[in-house]
Amino acid sequence: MPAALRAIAPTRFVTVQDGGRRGWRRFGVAVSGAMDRMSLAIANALVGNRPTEAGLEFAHAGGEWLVDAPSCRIAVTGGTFAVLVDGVPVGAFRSITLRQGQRLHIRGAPDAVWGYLAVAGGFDIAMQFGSRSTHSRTGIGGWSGRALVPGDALPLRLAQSPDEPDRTIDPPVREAAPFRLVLGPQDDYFAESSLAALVSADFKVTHHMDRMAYRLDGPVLTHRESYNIITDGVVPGSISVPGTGQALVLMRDAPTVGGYPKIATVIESDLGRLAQHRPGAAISFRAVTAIEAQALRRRFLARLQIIAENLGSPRLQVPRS
Amino acid sequence: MHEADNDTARRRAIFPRFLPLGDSALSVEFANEIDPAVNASVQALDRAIAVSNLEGIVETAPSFRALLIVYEPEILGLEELITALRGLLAEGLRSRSVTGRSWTIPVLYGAPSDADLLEVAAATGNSRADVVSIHSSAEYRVYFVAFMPGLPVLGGLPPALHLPRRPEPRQGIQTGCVMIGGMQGLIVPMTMPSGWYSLGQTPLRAYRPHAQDPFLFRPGDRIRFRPVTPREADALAGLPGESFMDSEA
Repeated sequence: MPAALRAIAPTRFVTVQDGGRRGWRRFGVAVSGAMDRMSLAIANALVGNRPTEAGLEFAHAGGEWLVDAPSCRIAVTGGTFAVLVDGVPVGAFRSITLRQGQRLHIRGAPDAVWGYLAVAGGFDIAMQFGSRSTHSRTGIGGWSGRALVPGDALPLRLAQSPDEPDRTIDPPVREAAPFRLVLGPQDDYFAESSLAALVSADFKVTHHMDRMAYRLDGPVLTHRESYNIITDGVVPGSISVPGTGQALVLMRDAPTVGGYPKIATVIESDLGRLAQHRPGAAISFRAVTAIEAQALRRRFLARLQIIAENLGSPRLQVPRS
Repeated sequence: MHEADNDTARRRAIFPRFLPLGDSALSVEFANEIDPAVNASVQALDRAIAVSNLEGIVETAPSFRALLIVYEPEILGLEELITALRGLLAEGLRSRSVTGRSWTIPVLYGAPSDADLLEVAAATGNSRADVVSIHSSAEYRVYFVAFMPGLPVLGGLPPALHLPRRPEPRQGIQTGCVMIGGMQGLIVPMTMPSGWYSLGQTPLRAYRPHAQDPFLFRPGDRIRFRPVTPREADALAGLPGESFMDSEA
């Protein structure tokens, strides 16, 4: 039997995700990829992988897994998930080397939505359209294009983890600062008062949240005339506003186009942080220019780079944003 | 800005407009209407970017009247990108026009159910046979491929069949359904929800996940529909999609 990580009792939405797809939007294929790229990068760094190696993404808790390999180094990140090995708590934000037959439980975290499980060497699964990310709605990528179910055995590239010390990292401090957005491309479809409300009022994450979009509760964003636009391209982070006036933040699995006006776009470096907010959490926005957003993006990418370069050290540091 | 001024600004907007979507995407809007000539400009810019080898472009995706450009600002800044695009536009897009390939797509009208076809006939004041004849006598152009993998959005629906979409989408529209909605048409690449009307079903697959070329249609392709009998539809079901291509670009 090839080395594998077996799903004993996975939670409902465990999917394989990496850095997402590039180059296939023109054929209607969604971008996908980790909801929180920074957390996936940290999980990978803890087990010695490159930042965008495919790992398992889970929502709220990860369930129960079994190591079917001589050894397998794993790490869990995203939030302070309760991680147990054969019932013994070991915690998140560290690597742990598991032996054949050991059971891994990943329970809930109070401070996160999306968790990441990385394995040293990565999973030995095929890419589809240049990525291992799962898009469940269209059955693309990942493990048979779907969330994992009991009995699935994900093949491991390494049957034996490299003989290296395990690593730890302090849980990154998640800033409470407003999420930065760039207004447009259809901000001129909205009343001035709604544009002002967008960057001054409090919004709440609702229960209508998944890998495609997060619906927010907050002030009604009023369209000046029509709430239909000529369907055009959207990106993860687009804030689309349908006729109800409720903001919908499009996420990684959103379709490639939409027909509602997009009042603004949450910047790439803040989208993962936003995704980690649970239903009921209060959030707010602040407008920046596209040029400012690009400077923030450079800082975000630099942080990812530093994490990747820290691989040799047993104690990793995440620079503050 | 006063709201009325804002509204006027959009109406008087000078196209093309360069509209950022966050830090790493830009929409180039050519007009605020659905029109074959406008869409041809979108496709021509798409083509011009593809052959320019402009460094820092991640990908481009056309829609009706806008081209989405995803780029890496670390390599190509926003202002540089806009300058480069203005340069491409100044060179003229006419020579870049996309001819596209031409297809004849077999359709079993009234399949898997006759209900929508009859509804369209009643709503547009045509007979069932007229709807089939009108729909299958026009030439359509693939405006873009979006929303689902391989889904072609088609322009060129004759005005006699223009019909508002349903207020609510219906779930579970089957693969191969040939649909119309508003002024457009589409071919369903995999089971999906839709608020459009299904006139029939084609045995041809617009999306073949494991084929060498998984996406049958490209922006700029031209499509005609041909009514077939159930027996003919069955016979054609196994054929590769390419066998319905009449001509290369």
